[in-house]
Amino acid sequence: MAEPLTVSMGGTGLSSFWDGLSSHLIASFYPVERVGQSRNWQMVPDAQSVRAPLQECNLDVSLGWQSPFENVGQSAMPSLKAMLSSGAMQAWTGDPGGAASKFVGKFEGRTGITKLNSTQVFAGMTPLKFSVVALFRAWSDPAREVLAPINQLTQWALPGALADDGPLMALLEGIKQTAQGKPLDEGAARALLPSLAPSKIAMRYKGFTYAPMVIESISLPLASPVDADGNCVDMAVPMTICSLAAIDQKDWERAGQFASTYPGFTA
Amino acid sequence: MSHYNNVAESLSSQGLLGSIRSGLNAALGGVTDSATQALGGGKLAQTVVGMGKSAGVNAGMNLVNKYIPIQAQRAINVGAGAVGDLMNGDWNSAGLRVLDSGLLNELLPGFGGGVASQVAYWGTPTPLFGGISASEAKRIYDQVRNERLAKKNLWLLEVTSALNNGGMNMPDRFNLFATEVEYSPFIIAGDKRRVGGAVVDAVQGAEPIELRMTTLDDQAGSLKMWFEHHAAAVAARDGTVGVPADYAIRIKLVHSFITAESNRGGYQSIGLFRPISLDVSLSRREDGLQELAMAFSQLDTFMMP
Repeated sequence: MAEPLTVSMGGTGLSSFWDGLSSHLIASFYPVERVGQSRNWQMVPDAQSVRAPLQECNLDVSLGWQSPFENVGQSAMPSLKAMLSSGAMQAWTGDPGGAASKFVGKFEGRTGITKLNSTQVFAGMTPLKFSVVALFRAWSDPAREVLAPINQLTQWALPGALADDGPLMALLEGIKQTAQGKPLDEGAARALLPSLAPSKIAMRYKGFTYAPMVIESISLPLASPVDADGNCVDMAVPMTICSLAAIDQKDWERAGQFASTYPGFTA
Repeated sequence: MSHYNNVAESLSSQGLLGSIRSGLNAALGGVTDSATQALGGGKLAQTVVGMGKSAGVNAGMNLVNKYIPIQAQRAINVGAGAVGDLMNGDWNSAGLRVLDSGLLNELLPGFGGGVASQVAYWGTPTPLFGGISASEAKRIYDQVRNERLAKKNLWLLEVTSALNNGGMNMPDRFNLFATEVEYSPFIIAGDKRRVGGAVVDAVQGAEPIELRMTTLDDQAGSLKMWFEHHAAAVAARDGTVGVPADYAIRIKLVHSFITAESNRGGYQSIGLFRPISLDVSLSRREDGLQELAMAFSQLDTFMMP
């Protein structure tokens, strides 16, 4: 008699079943919040995490270098300098071999570029940018294994709440709440910034913890195959995830400290 | 080391006459040691007694040479060496020692010559056997013959799935009807990256297995129905798809044994597959059994059934 078909299943958080796959190949996403008033970030208590293997994961670090002295000393009479440098002025003197021609000839082949005015300086950097494709594939329950984790990711990407009214109405509402006895700071915050921004998240992948991050874009291939109940069975979700701020060497070192109390970047 | 081992080692390495010389040396050595001690143990005493010992050993060996011809001495040495080899359990060395000496042929001219030529044949490396002797070739042949080699026509196939709670399973019929199975159990994919004039191998990982199976079928089309149901569970006619938990097909292939009861640790491949295609070829040109060519693709390479 044949043995019954059994496939071990497990895992925590919202995920498809990836039993047997190395944990290093599975990325974890979870919401983070600031630890008190510090610059450290931690997982939001009792929050759900989303786990998915990444089909693609590219990290772009763009660093801005500029040459601020590039045009120093070159801006005055650029055309005249160019004519002198090229030797075009010699023909204009009309005295081949004469004193004027020799004088003008001294400028030919010279340039105003120096090491100083070609030196680059660090002018800033953009936040880290991850381009990932998270894979969700249902083994037995598409609603739980595909739909639920994708819904969670989408929710993290969207603003927490957008105020219904305009700024003027929000200001009036803040004044009204303060008059009703609410703390002034809370009322002022609601009055000036009435809506809630999207969640900050962390991404833990291959021994590194990248946090705080924000989901800059997420694409949902809704035309993916569905089961008899209309739930997607298989979905590869491209996302662009950026760090909240630019990072430095210490931040990168902290990201690799998996066992640290507050792994990730400071921001 | 026991006395037996001492005798065996001595005979094997020195032959009988060598052992006699050693024995004389040892016996006279004991006497001369006593004489040296009696004479005070000085340098002169050692020299005088040593001269006497050499004379004694030479006198003893002269007696041996006088009464035993040199031909016979060689025979005795060969025989004693062979006995020593046998006592050491080294039958090969014993036989070769006799053969190398040519003594067998000399002692037994008619019979010995035939045996010697036979033995020379069996013991001489020859290009006909790839540079080894006939006895070595026979040993290799016997070694191969004694191995229980796997046969390609003996295998046990077990195909099951959870479709309809296992209601579609008919493992016995599958095993009975399957005539051929082809698959590559391990496929490793990788790239070759050129670095200057050299090439660096970059492994990408394992590839899913594709298993092809040829089966017969009954008149009711049981196996065709089985495949059709599983194919529909993967991709239904209405455009929807199923989930692997429903349609995953567990294929177990045991090599070299044809029943589970007779299986004595045969190599087995187990994997989870889904149907790819079913090829059927019908022809009225000849009277033959219908054959189904089924193809299956492995599901997740990391998922163990």
